[in-house]
Amino acid sequence: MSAFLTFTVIGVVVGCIYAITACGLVVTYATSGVFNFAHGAQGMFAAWVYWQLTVDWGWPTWLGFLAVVGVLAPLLGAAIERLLIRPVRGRSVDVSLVVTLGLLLFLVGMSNLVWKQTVIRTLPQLFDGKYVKVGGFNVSYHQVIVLVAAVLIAVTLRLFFERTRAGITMRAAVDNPTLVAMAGSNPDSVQRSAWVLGSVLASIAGVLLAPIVQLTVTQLTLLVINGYAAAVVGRLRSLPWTVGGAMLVGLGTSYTVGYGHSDLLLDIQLVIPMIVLFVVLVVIPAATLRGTQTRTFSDRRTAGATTTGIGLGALVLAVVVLAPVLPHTLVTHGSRALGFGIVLLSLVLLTGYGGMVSLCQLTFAGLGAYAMSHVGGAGGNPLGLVVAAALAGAVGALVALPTLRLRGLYLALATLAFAQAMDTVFFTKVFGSGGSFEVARPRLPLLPRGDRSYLVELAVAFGLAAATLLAVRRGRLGRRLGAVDDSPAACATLGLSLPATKLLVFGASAALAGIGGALLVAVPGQGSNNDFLALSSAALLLVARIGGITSVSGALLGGIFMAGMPALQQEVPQLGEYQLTFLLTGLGAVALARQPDGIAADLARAFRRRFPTPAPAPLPALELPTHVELAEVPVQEGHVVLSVAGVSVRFGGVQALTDVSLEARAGTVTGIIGPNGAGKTTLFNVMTGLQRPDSGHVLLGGIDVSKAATHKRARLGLARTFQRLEVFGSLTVLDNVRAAAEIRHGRAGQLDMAEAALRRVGIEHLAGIPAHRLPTGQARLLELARALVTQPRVLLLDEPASGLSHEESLELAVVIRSVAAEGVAAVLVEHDVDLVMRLCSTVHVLDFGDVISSGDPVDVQSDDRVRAAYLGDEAVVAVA
Amino acid sequence: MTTPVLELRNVRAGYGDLQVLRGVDLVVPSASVVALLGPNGAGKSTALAVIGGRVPASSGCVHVDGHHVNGARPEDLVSSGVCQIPEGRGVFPNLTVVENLRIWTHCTDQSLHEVEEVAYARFPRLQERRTQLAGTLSGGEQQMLALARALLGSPRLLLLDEISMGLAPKVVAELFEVVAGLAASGIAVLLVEQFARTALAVADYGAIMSRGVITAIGQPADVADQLEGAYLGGAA
Repeated sequence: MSAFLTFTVIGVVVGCIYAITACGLVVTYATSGVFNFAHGAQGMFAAWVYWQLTVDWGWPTWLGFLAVVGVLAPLLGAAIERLLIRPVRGRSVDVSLVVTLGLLLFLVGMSNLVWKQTVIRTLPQLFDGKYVKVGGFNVSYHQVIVLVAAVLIAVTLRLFFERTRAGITMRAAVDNPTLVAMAGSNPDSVQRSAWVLGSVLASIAGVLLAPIVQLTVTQLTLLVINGYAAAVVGRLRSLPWTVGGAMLVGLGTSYTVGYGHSDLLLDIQLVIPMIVLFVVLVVIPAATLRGTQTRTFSDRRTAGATTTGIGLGALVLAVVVLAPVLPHTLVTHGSRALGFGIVLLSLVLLTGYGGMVSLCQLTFAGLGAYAMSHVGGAGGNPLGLVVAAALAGAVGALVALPTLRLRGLYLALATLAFAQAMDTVFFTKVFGSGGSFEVARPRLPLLPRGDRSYLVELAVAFGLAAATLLAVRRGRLGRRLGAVDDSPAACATLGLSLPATKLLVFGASAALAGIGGALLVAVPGQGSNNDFLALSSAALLLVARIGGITSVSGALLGGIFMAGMPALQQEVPQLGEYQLTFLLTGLGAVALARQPDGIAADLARAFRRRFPTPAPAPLPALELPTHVELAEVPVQEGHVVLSVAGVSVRFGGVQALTDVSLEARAGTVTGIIGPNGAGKTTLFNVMTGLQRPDSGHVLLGGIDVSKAATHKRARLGLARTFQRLEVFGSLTVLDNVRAAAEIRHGRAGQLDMAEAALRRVGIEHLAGIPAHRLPTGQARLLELARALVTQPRVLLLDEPASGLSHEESLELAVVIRSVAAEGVAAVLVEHDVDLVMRLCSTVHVLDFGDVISSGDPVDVQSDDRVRAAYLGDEAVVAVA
Repeated sequence: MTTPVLELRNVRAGYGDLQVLRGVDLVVPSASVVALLGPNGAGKSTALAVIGGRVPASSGCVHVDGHHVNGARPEDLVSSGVCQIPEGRGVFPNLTVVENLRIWTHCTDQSLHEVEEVAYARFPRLQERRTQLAGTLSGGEQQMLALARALLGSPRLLLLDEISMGLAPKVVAELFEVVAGLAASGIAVLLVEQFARTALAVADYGAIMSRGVITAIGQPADVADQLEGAYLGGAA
């Protein structure tokens, strides 16, 4: 019994500390949308400064605590918010997270530099040596203080967020920062306060935790990753659930250590946080596919095949020429640079092309090296490389699997937890702490042996990998990845299953990293578990970003950096291992906040300034047949293709739709109009699959699709356009339509279908222009072409005239009418009543979720109920 | 001639390539109610967004009480006496009624207690629902909570963006009674409305906006004739 109590107390105490730090994480994430990967490092840093003040310089404990928690932490939090977080507000996850990763590495590097780890230091527990007897066993004062502190913090946070205006405003800012501004508070100040609060909580956790576990730099930082699981249990927004999750992790770990008699259980204890994290990830409901917020698109310039061939050929040639004459150290460094370059290419594929984040790429590299070591043997059997790719790829797929339906941030968390777990369990077990393993170079028959020829082989390998990547980018998968990155919502409506694509890319990237790892470790021939540390993976991602994540040359630059840093450290031994890398990459993070596209982008820009290309030609004017009277285009009514029957929807306490029924026939244009708030959007969402009806059915070609997901309806012949444009901004006009054709019809290329679709809407002369440059009118036509190439039976148009001039909307109407004439059933939701009346053969008017009028446009227009709905009930005239 | 509370001169604005306001001229005299009407897509909400500092004007001027406010942020405009209630409900749905009111105290020197007194005096129903989440209130009650902000801190100008959206006519009538009362107490009101006739009934002036410019302005009776043409097009 007493053993149980002891373990419980320990578990609760550790859980309390995780709770304190995880709450800080949740607060900053909830208010700014940025997940602070450096949170644990801030705690570690606070612990070390506290040690410095109270142990090394002999300050009284209370003063040291006050200085760290009351002065240092708030200043650090405010500085971080101002310098790192505010500049990247609104950018995608893979940008905002590298900024905090950079901070993490910077703090780790700096701490290692200032407090060399060669000497073991300890931070004494508070009131060290004093105990309290509880029910027959001892609880140390420190543990009591932790418990009391946790309770105090929980109570204070609750009071703060429930009772004070500042706290309530912080919660409000999560929902609606604009409304917060309208109520008189500066949203920037609110965010700064949140980060100050988070920093203070991190520092308290660090100062309390360090005396219980060891005072180290890396381990202490990574221990806090255990807190991530707690934050995820809280869905990154609920403090009570976060605390619960923290207790779960703390107690789970404690009991496993306490009761674990076999070695296996002892090891499992180290990965319990990761297990909790993965279990929670599987259980969390999928993220809804919102449309893209305002995004910046850049032209995806991919070098043509000839340029690629020349560039990479030149690289290989240069290596061949230089290999015999370079000094031996440079041969080694060059080989390692190329090895790292290949691993970095896997990140170019994953993050640059695919927009996903991995914080365990070096772990995959390590798995690849491990496979090569066992299968390749001493003789360097090239089969080892194949196994390396297979093993790393398979493991990668497994790691990514639980997160595919979720936001990209969760993939980052999962990979980091995985990397840390592998560090502590797999690599130490397999290679022993500080142990090493042998990896032989793959031997192909007839090729010469030796370091210099290996250098050439690596150059060829890099060249092949890079060329393959670029070919992929130009081809079907590249288009698809660009499309998924630009608009996942649009891809779903085209019938693309996003998880499958993501899984493929993640697995391929892991496999490539595995190959790179095997080749890299084979340079010295020996690897140790220190080569694949979780923090090094974080550094790798950062280096890739700084170099330029979408470019092959960026990968090469990064590789040179990764190989060069240790070499430099050998020259300057005072800096110690990894510090320089971390410091520099950390500083790079601040630079990244200013220029998220990396050095390669800067270099490319400088190059273009020096050798300017002619300014792009102004877009050719739209050439549509004007003045084709709509009446001239005949409309043939066919059979019912889409029908909505008795649909009712209720959400948020409001009855959005009540028993709505309508039909759309082939060859006709049906219009849905009504005042704002009438339910048009809800009805549209019911038809497209974004909203499930509470009752009633949606039938597509006779098949009940009421519960079918969007991409399934797409496969049954439903296509749609968006009110807020969802073109694939970074692809050309032609590629937009090609990507859609490929997604829908499966084969690569589909060039002629795409060109035909462009001709159909009249924009074939814009084929080579990047879509983000199109003005609204032409972008709407592009969306229409993209929808048409899927050969739909039903075409749903969401406010297609939105943002168009009167003339443009009439031109669009001509195209829509002619498309319908070919047999498609077009249904449009519109505010432009005039347009709808001209274009549609049937009109339905919604008001307060009811269909109040249906039929011929002329009849509907003169219906009194319709007038009342739009202009306000005559009978209701408020008297002032 | 007293300075108008709000004046827009040749204001242009848009989003990226999209030009929404194409030269808007508008005046809201003090203590008057101006109804800004017109079909969707005309730019009415954008006009309010520009006045309220949420969207920058690419050219032209916006003056509040004679002061140039181009480029001011929403939180700065609060101290200039501008109270804006945005489209959708102007409340925080995940906070309770009293928590919402506590946030509104930022606009005034009054304490929470005083603010609650004022709000409940005007809207007794809110007191019954004091600890209820604002998102679970009925649409009309939410708008009343939003309008409570206009009762605090003596604003000079109230900007209302479609407060009637999704509400039943009876509730709309109640809300407009409140708006009329606010105007009577000296606050100038610029309201954007879909339900034109209901809005014109409380307004001193009506302005019809279409495709980014004001096409008609005048007394409600004069403007009412042009409404159907603007909204429903074709044969009126």
